[in-house]
Amino acid sequence: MKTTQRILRTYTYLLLSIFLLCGCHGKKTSLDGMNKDTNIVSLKINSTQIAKGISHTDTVFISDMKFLPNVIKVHNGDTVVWVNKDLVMHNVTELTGKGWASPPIHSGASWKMAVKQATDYHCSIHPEMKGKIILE
Amino acid sequence: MKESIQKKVIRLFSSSILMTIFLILNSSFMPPPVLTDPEIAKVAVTANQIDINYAKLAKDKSKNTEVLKFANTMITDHQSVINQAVALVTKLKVTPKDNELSMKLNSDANTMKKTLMEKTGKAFNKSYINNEVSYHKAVINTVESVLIPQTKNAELKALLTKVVPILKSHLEHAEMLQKTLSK
Repeated sequence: MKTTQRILRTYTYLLLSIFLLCGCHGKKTSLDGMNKDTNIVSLKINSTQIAKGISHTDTVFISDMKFLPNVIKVHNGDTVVWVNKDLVMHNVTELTGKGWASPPIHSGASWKMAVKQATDYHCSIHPEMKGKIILE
Repeated sequence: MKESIQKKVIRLFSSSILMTIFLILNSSFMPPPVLTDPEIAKVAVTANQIDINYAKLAKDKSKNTEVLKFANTMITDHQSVINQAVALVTKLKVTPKDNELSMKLNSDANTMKKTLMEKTGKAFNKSYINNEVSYHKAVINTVESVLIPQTKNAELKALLTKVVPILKSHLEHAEMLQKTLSK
């Protein structure tokens, strides 16, 4: 008799803990859902901006001898600003050397350009520093 | 027979332990140089100036466009680092101080400069770039394992830390040239 009681008790505890675990998981998914909602909202804002023809500005930081981000997606006509956060001078030059190029961008300075086409670029002073512009 | 194998294993084991102890002791007998902040500042400025001097030599002796472009980058970048270092030590009222490491760097550089001066044309380009690869490797190692860990002043430490990616990018650039020159 006593053993059956004990088994029953353990079983209830087990069931309770399973319910509790499910509860936690449920909360987590609802949080995920909230994040998705905010993403949708920001996407909507972006698409209305695009619909109205407002071009916006994207920033690429030059830091620790890297373009951050090194790949950037923009719309035709958007402006990209390169900000030099390094100690040394850089530039932004279309990779083949036959296209566009910035003047030297000194430490702390920046340079901007309205993007008309997708291109690969690098810093011609430090050719191992590479970046890419993709058109959306 | 069995016993002798056991003995062999024991002997091998104990000798390897002895060897490890010997190696550990040996490495602790050759500690890295202990430097003060004014000495570290001097090493940093010296190491940058040495690479500027190599680059000036390359500008005199080389006709290869890529080598000349590399040399120009070395001059502007290492000069920017020196300017930052000088501005910082002036602000901190620290006077860079000569020391064994800075003097060794200078004497090694003088020997290398003599070797490079004897070469011309393609042989010069190759030797200059080979030396840039090994020099940057050595400097990166010194900055990372000696200078940064020993620096007391936070701003000097931050500056040295910011210099490492610059040196690594120069190394990559030099290695790229090393490949094209060996073709």
